[in-house]
Amino acid sequence: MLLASTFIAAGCGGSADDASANGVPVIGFMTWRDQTGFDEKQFRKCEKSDGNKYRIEAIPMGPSVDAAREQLTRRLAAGDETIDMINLDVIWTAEFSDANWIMDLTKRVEPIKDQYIPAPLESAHYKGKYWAVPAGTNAPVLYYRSDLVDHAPATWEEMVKLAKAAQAKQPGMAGFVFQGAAYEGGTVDALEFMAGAGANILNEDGTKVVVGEGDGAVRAFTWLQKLFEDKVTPKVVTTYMEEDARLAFQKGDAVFMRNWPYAWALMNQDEASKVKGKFDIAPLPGFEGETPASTLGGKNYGIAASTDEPELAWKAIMCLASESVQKEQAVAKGEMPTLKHLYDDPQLAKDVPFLDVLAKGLVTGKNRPASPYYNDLTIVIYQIYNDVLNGRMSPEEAVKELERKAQSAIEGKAEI
Amino acid sequence: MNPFAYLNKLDERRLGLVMVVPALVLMAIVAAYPVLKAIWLSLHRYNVKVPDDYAFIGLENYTRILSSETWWTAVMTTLSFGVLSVGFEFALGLVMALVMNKGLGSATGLVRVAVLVPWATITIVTALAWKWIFTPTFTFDLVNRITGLFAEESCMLCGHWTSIFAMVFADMWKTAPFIALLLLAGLQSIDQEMYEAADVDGASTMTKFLKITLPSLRPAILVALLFRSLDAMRMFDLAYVMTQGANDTATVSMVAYDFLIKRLDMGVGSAMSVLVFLMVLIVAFIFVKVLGAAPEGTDPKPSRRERKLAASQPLTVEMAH
Repeated sequence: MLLASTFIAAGCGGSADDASANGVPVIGFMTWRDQTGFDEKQFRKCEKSDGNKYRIEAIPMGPSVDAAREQLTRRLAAGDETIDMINLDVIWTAEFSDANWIMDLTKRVEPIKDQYIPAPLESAHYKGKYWAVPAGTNAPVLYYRSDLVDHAPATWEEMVKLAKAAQAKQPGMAGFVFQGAAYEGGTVDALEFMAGAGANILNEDGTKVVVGEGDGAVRAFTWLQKLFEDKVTPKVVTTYMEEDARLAFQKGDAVFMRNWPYAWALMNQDEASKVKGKFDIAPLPGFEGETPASTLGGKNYGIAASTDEPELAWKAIMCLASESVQKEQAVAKGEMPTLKHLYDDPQLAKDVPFLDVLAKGLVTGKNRPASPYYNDLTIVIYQIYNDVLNGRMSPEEAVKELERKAQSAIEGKAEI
Repeated sequence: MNPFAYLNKLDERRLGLVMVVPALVLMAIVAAYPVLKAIWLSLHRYNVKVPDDYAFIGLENYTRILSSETWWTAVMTTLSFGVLSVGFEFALGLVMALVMNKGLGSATGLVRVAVLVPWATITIVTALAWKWIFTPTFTFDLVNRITGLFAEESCMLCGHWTSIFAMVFADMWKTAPFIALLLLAGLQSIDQEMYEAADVDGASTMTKFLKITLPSLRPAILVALLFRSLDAMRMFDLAYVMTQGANDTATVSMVAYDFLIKRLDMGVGSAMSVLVFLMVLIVAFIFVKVLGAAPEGTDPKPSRRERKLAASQPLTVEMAH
């Protein structure tokens, strides 16, 4: 008898409609594959603290944001009922809520919303409703070689000066590396450079492309092209994603790097790292006379519209996004808390030495534009950005093309 | 009573038909249905994200695609890749086949296995490996010096033609062995007496190669080129991994993937897939009907050239057979 029920449970693993071995409903949680065992540990803890009323089973997705979204959208569009809870990237809220794939959580989030930092909370907010709970946030930072540069730059222009001075002493080194490939990460960098020069891609309500207003975008693109002309940035950066930049910096090949906080721990621990203890981090600068800007990353936990167990899924979310889990994941994964008061937590400040730098980044941090057609928009942005870096387009042409193509993209009429 | 007794009463032709019905049904389900469904979807406005906005729009998707610069750039990229990769692979494959056919003594078996290793490697892995090899930051100094002759700052994947060449190179590494094996089979089926006769006539090595080897290899060459060309027309993985389509290196399959999988636009995506299908069909048509390629085991109708030849020189052909 016991054998039979175990067999059935194993055969139906991941299905929310089926009871698990001990008879409680299974919450299928679509989330990143986690090989460290950290997630599993949190799942078991939460099940226990909630009185073993549910069992969380991870449905792994990934490995990149683009791949994960493709996998998720296919399953959600097909009405996959095994998914109850979703680890949503901050850019998915508009698309998924507009397609009725995730549940409106306004009534549940409204009473607790004041606990969260505004920008991450805003990423879970679309068309006046809350669709998810901010569970982790992230702001990019500027890494620099503290053995070659004596202070962090306040502006991008200053950074170039410092980089050139360091390059003159260390021939063969790159001055500045970042993400230049044609993919989602390229869009993130592009939006940052433009915002750092005062140019936003869309207006407040996300209905109109305003990137051509003012000369911010042209200024950012011109500056980017000059990086390559002056050999501050090598051409290969046009193919770089996060890990490429990290590996180059860690080999000791670059003076400055724009990357996410995850690289900090890796570059200090990795056996092969040649920069252990030789680098520091600072908030991203902006251009002279403008406010610095960074593009926020992060994750929100939402509930699939097709779930049979919204109450249990909510319980699980409240536990997995709770203070104690957020503190642990800040140390273990470099994912920063979304709960405001944790930034005043003395223990956390000790465990995460760069918490204050990140807190600054989160204040100036901007979300990527909210649009149900975000995905069409990002393809336009990263393709043009990559063309600019490769010198295939002048900054002026690029901004004009960006205006035209982005506008048709957000109207759902993406040009082919 | 035997329920299949009635089969015995059928003549052979009818029996044959009955026998292939299960296979035909299976083919209809896994091949015909998806193809027809894609054609049907390509005539509609349909994005999975907005399922309510579904309407028949005739050929509008096709006119949009065929009037777009992106599409034609992708067609040119695909064709450039196809011609270059198949050309280089054929040349290299032929050399490899000739070397293997000559026999390398005790090393023959080892060489044959060794050339197959790249072919057995998964394309995505091949693509990643070559991407790193062609990335100056992570590769060997020697590679950087060589690529430095072709590309600015040794970055092969930073420009249009250098990227295409990098992909051709990766493809060549992987599939030249495949061509080599097909050609090797062809080489081994050539009657050695022809070479002996040629030796008696005092023919040079070059003459033997041009007059005996190449003509006898023709069927094998055409089949190899057909397979490789069809593969090249729908190339996706190399570009997807190595360049992400940067510098106008997106192939038609990649553009179709962008619309189908990333944008969830079933209408435009299906129309693009149908166009890729047509491109492949045209290439196959040229090979089979014009050049007379036929896989082993089929009985091809003679090509126009062969028929003409047969008509003008009945005796020679008779003797050759």
